Amino acid sequence: MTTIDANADLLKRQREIISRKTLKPYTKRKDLPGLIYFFGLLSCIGLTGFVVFLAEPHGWWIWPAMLLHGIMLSHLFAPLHETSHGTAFKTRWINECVLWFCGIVTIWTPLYFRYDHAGHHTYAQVPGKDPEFVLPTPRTILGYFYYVSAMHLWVKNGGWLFRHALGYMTPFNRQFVPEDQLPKIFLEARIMLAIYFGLAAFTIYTGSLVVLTYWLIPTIIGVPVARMLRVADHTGCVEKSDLRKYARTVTTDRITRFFCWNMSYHCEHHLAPSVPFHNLKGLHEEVGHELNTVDKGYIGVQWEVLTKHMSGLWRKKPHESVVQD
Amino acid sequence: MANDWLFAIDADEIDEEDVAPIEIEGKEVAIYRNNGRFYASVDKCTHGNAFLSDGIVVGDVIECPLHQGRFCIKTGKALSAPASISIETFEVKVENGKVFVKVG
Repeated sequence: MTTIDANADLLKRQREIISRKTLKPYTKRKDLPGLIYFFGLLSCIGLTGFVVFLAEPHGWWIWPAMLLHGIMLSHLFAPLHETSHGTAFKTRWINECVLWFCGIVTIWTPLYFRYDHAGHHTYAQVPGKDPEFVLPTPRTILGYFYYVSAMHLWVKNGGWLFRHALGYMTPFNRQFVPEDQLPKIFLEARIMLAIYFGLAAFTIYTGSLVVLTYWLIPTIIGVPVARMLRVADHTGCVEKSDLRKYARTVTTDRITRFFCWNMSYHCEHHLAPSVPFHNLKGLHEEVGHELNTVDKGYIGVQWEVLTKHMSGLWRKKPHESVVQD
Repeated sequence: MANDWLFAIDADEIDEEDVAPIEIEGKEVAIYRNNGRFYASVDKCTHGNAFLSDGIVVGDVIECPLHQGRFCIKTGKALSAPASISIETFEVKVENGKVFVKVG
């Protein structure tokens, strides 16, 4: 199936679930909800940063403080994702500023992510084509921890950053980007690397630990929580293009929904990515009964993934998995 | 026929800040309405080939329903990724509540 066919098929299936007329009110854009969510999250980051400051003189207490701070920082992925769709704010320049801010802090190249994520929406859960396929089968417990620890993330994002800065993009990534956009993507990687090298130079020159304590170390140790939320989005769902079943909507509490910007309504997000995060709950009430909604919370989903969707501790060599007569 | 004004749609069939699909001379055309004015373009996104008439109009912008590529409905210019190639636009006039398009 070509990309064009895949896209046409998605829209056809969307119409089978919800009419354009019913969908339209949910696509309405606003600034206020995004501003409340974004500054709410920034306030939490500021607060946990203050906790790190208070913990600094008390030895090892700084580690749980940095972990908490990192968990808050990692949730900047939620506005990064929403702004990559352009749906977070009605005012476009606010959307783009937040996209860039979140991209720099979370170390995701924002423009390339926009293309990569468009590829994910076209080919979600299609083996070999989905650029954001989280733990395809056969998945293993070691693979799960490799993903959740975010080691894969630093390899992937670091790869984007350095390769693109050097003017190279892998053929797989290249399929999602029009030729004329490559210079912009290479430029964004160079700008981001310049910022990071600037921060490194500041740290080395001044001997200050501010960058490490309040950003880099918390970002590295805190990101697994956000990765666990991502695992729940698709892992263990059908591995083919099926709007009803290839994602999972997780019913959860208001606080979790606040930090993930309602991406717990993941089926609804894939059904209609034009719908901004603040209308996903309403869309869920409209069509959630037709989609793959699970009522066990994020921890329950992690347990389900670990106990029902794994094929072992680590990947076996092909000959080991063959039953001998 | 290419330079003729062809009837497209009754003006009151399109809501304010909305879009409707029509077919003229075998061509799929999207007709937009914003601030009481009408605009027309080809009905296909240049990024993923989705129907723009399934998208949403925000002011002078049509946003693709699939990946949120954005185009100016007045000029057809691609405004943001993942769209980068502009869409073709057509001349529009309104007479006696009827929208006419010149699909050149």
